[in-house]
Amino acid sequence: MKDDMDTVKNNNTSEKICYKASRLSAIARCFLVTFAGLFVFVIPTLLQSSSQSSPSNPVNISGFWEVRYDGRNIPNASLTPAAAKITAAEQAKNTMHVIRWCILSGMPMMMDSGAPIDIEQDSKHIGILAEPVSGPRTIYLDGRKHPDMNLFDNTTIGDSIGHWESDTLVVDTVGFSDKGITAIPGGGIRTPHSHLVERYRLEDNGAHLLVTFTWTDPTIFAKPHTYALRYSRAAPGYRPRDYDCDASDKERAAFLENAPHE
Amino acid sequence: MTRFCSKAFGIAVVFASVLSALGYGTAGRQTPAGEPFTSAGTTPDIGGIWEPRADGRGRGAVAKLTPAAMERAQKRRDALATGDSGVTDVARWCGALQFPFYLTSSPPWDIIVGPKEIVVLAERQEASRHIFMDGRGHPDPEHLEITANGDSIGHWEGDTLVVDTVGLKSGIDTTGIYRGAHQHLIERYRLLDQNRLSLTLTWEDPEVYAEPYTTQRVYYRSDPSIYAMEDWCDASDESQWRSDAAPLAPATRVHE
Repeated sequence: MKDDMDTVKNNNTSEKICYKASRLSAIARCFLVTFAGLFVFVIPTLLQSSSQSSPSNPVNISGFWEVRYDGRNIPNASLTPAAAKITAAEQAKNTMHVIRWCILSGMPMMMDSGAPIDIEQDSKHIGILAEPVSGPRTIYLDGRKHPDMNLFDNTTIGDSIGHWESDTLVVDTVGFSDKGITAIPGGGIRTPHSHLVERYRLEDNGAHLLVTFTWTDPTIFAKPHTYALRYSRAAPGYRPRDYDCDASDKERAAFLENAPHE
Repeated sequence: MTRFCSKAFGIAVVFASVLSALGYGTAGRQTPAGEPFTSAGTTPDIGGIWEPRADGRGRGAVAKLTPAAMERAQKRRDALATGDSGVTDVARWCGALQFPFYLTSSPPWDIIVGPKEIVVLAERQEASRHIFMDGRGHPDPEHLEITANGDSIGHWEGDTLVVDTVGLKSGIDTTGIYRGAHQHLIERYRLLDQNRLSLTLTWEDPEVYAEPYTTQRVYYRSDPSIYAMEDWCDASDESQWRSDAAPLAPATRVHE
């Protein structure tokens, strides 16, 4: 009986040991699986985060974008009396001079110059490149303010800083010069007093990019002037053309400077 | 036990999902554009503004020139010694400054790493470049447009960005050096640390170099307060080509 009891006891002890061993093994397996889950899902997630976007930079608007014939909604600007005196002929003369001499055109011409623009974005900034003669725009997304305008050398594209309001990129630009092609769609011209606010938002699951432009300038506009361009994504594999402008080309100069004749 | 294990595994997955929702780890995340936010993924972050400094220039072997290139170089030296202003047509007429001019110029330049393309923004006129990272090749020779910046495609080899450029314009560049019609450039960019970017540039030009010419440079990440300026050039303003002390001789017109 004692032997039987011992046997039962030993069996119970053995079962307990086996049970404990089995339990330990299961816990080990469980930790293994859990850590595998962490390794597969969490660690790469954390590693990738260092060079990726943040919630403050949530949308990707990179790509080649073109304005098609139905992509412009441009009302007439409400001009100050002084600005209204700037004639279309004067603006056209300035524009022709800039084209003739291959001078940087700048804003807002470069955003709708007849060829697609290239917008490329990373976590720190956005670049906008146009094909015809213009410097590239840089839109800083790193939270900086505009530089001290007393020290800033004004440019045809100005100084641009941006931030996201939900899915809309809001870009604020000041520091414009009065050089380049200054005509603004709808009327008026860019001056050193100009202030531009742009709002970029993707539409149709990224097929279109809607951009509204609002110009304010007490010397030019009686009230803020807003117009919109609706860009379409250019064909996949699009290759921009390198616009080689040659101001010394006499035939080109003659074509641009002389009145057309039959 | 299995149930407990499933719960723990589930917690790990939920934890990862929460992190993802908070914006961490977006390499594979789909944006409203339907594309990953950036192709950079785990590749080195070379985006940002870079500038040359005195100790980062021109390391490498001396270029071995072809006899024709040496003759051209001597002619230019003779011309400069006998009164040539040294102003090239590209500079005089505000032409596009041919790649890789901005790499040797002093203003900083800016790399932006997009999902399918890297762009380099330079302050010098028309010097900005597109480097396609979407796996495309160069156009076939029949459709290759010859331009000041050429056609550039890139890919990552480990931690090194390799950029291949063809289709560069031939002629006298803005520094006065002749460039041939069959140039082929290979750039290799690698971060030495977060603030230094190494570039090894190998230049094949059978009209100029007797053998491929390789040079190494190091660029430094600019201060975060740096912003882009505009390199202004107005070919109609003759005053910018003259100096009160020593008036420059008129440059030779390209299309006389």
